[in-house]
Amino acid sequence: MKMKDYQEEIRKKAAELLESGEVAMVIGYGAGSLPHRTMPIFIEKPDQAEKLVLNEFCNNNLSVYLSRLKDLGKLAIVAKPCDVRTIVGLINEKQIERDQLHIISFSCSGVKDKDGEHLSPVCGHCEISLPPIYDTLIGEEKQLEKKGEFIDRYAEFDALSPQERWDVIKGEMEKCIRCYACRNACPMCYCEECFVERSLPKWVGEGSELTDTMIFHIVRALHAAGRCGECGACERACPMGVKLGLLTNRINADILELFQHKAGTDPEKPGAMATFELEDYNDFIK
Amino acid sequence: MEKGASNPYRPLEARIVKITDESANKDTRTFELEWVNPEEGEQFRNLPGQFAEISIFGAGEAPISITSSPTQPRLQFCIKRMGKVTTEIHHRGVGDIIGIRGPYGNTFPLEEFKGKNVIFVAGGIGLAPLRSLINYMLHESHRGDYKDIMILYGARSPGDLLFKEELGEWEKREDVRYEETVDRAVGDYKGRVGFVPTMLEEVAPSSENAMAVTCGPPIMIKFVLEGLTKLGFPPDRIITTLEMRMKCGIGKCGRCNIGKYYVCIDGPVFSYEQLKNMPKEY
Amino acid sequence: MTGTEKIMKQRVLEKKKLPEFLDEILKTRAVIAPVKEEDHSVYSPLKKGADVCLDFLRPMKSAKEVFFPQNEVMFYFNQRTQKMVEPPPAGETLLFGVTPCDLAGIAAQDKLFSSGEFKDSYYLRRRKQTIIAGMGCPEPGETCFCHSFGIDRFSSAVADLFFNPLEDRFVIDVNTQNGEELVKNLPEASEKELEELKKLKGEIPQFSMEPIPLEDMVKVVGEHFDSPVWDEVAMRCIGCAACTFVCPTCHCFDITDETRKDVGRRMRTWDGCMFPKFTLHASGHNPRTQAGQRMRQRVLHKFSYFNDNQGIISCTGCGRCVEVCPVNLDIRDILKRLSEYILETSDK
Repeated sequence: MKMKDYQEEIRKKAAELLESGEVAMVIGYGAGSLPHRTMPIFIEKPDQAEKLVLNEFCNNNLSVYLSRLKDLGKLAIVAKPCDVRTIVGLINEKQIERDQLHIISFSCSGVKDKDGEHLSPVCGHCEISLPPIYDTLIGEEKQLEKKGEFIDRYAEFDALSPQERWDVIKGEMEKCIRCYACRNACPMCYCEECFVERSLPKWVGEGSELTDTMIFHIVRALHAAGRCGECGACERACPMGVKLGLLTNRINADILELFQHKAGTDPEKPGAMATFELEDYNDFIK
Repeated sequence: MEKGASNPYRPLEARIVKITDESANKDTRTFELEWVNPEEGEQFRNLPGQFAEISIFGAGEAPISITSSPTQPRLQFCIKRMGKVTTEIHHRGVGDIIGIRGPYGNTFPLEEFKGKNVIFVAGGIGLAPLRSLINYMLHESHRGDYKDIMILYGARSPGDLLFKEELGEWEKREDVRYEETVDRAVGDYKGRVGFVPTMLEEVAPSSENAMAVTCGPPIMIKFVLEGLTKLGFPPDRIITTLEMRMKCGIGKCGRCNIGKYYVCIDGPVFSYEQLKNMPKEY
Repeated sequence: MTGTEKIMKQRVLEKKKLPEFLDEILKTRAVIAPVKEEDHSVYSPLKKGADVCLDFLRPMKSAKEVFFPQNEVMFYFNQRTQKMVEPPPAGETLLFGVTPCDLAGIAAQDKLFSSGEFKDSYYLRRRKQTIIAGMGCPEPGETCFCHSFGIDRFSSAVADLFFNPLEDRFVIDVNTQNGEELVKNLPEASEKELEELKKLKGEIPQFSMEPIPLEDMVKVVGEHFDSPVWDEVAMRCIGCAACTFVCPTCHCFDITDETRKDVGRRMRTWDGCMFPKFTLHASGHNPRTQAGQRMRQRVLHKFSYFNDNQGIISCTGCGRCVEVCPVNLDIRDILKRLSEYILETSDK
């Protein structure tokens, strides 16, 4: 079953949920104004359900809207399995309650990159094709392989020495224009005041000076460590093509190795850096 | 690049010569300054209503209204400790040098007040910008231009009343009517207790041949505007001065843009008539 | 630009000789031109003429950062001695390959930074030291709507020189004496080449949409200030500044101090009205907390208020904001929705 076959079912389900009054709003994808694009839409009436689409260009992670809309009542959200990981994270961190959500998910074979041709690099490395939790599963419950060519850059990156990796990251950071699209697209970055906005004390300078930019990205990656759902929203939001996955996703690989934990897969388990287990490795204590 | 006037972002140097604690909890102080380079001071001709950007190297700049009248010998700013820059200013002492850029903004419409009664309604630190106009009008060379002057002033508590010495002088003067109130009395305070809008209703100044000038916290201004309107003041005879987030002070950075106005150029002094035609984004 | 400049002859440069031409200029001044960066280009200082890249429709970021850099040191200071030192000038520069939409952006920023009682000395000094060479556009992109503003592929606005691209050569319009200095050794354009250019200019470019009818709409839009349509169109905005930073006309900035022990610098950095904290007061009061309010400010400022004050609409239809928005907010659709809304409500 292809992603676009799910479209009809999603429309039916959304109309049903709104008709019965079970949810106040359905957050889903609608047709974009450009080819290869979709956009987040917010449906409040059953007859608007026709606007919902599902295709391989549905790259946004819609859970970023949950915290600002939760006061409207129960919300339904169309979420890819990776998006559900961030929803699980938000539930863990008490940003939203499980019974205030109706998660519509499906088994995912990957979405396209911004160029509309290649498979998104995050998808290429993703091993999860079923959502960890859901209320409605569209299509069959089976593991799907990610379809499409993608550019594997992690293998190349991992083979570099630490100094070489630093140079690669630095090169990427030089492209950053500090628009904060990455931070604002990330559902786990829900802080009312981000550390870069603080003036007393001023942790980071404004503008695009390289040292300030690197501090911003490195600290943000560390704040997301163990919480990042690897949805790729940050990298896709970036207007300058900064390869943010090289930081966020590689840290996730480290977290998996050190703590045997994959963020957002278990609703009972909080983020690896948010808690402490006696079994945690401690061989850094000499 | 040439120094001074050609670069509008370059502050002029001023030395602090006197600091007065205005509030009991010491969060509000008046700083009196003299120019390090007197010829720069010659060019700084401010009129009541204008503000300046106060610059502290390392902290940044803050827009503060000029509380002194041009009839007074030295420049004065009344500053409440709120954020990064104002906190740094409060750490400065007599003899320290700070930067000043200005004078910026428009002025109170002095011509329009001539020959009229003037009613000032101020709350808390809102008295600071109005004080420049009050002292200008009360100065012997100008007093004759205006008819009856009334000052209605209130603060949260007696300790929060600013410029206490001057308030006493205004009260004593025969050619000024001064009325005061506090939200809550403390200690042996014997004066009126109540909010400023209530005092306005009680005193009920006549709107005939009169103009009103008001400044204070947003909630107070809201009720005062209603009160003045009820007393018969038309919107074009009610003047206020807006507080707004500003950065450059010269209409370039976009921060204080409301509608097609820039508060740093077209304001901060606006009539209620103008405010009514502006988006409510202040 | 007065009538006298018109008598400067148009010149010709073969496309394959462009690197050589730029190398020659590099001997006496810096050159900033579109340079390739992975899958797009950006305006960047050239190390050698061959680095110039005209393969992409327009650079990812606009040309405004040449005159209004994202980080500008206003002056250095010493907190102990209270001394201030302004940075030295950037130096003579040629800004090459500026698209017509970006030229219009420079024209709008010229108005803002030089109008009123206070002139922005930093912007104007860079402007004075830079010769601008525009470049004609081959064809409109998917998101381009410059035709709504009377801009076409050959609009040379504030450019000193304008390179009209023929098949294998440029016909160069020379608009100022400064521009003439750089091209005076190039051959003059022949009758045949001028004919070819005339034919090219006569071709009608294919845009993906009709021009947006702006004049009346903008006035009326301002009257619907309190309408819920703003919340509707801005609902998905995530409050980043991607649109603002790639825009050729956006000009909001912040001023902050950075220090290291005694010494420091006062910096001017780009800022954006789309950031939720843009209008936050130190007291905690914030007049624009909702995305709808900020979107309203952005649209009305660009299409109405700036026009009231400066006589130019602060948008050039370059379409970059549409391309970069992470949630596909499309200014063209927003303007269309506002027109519809006006029609809907005026019937009542």
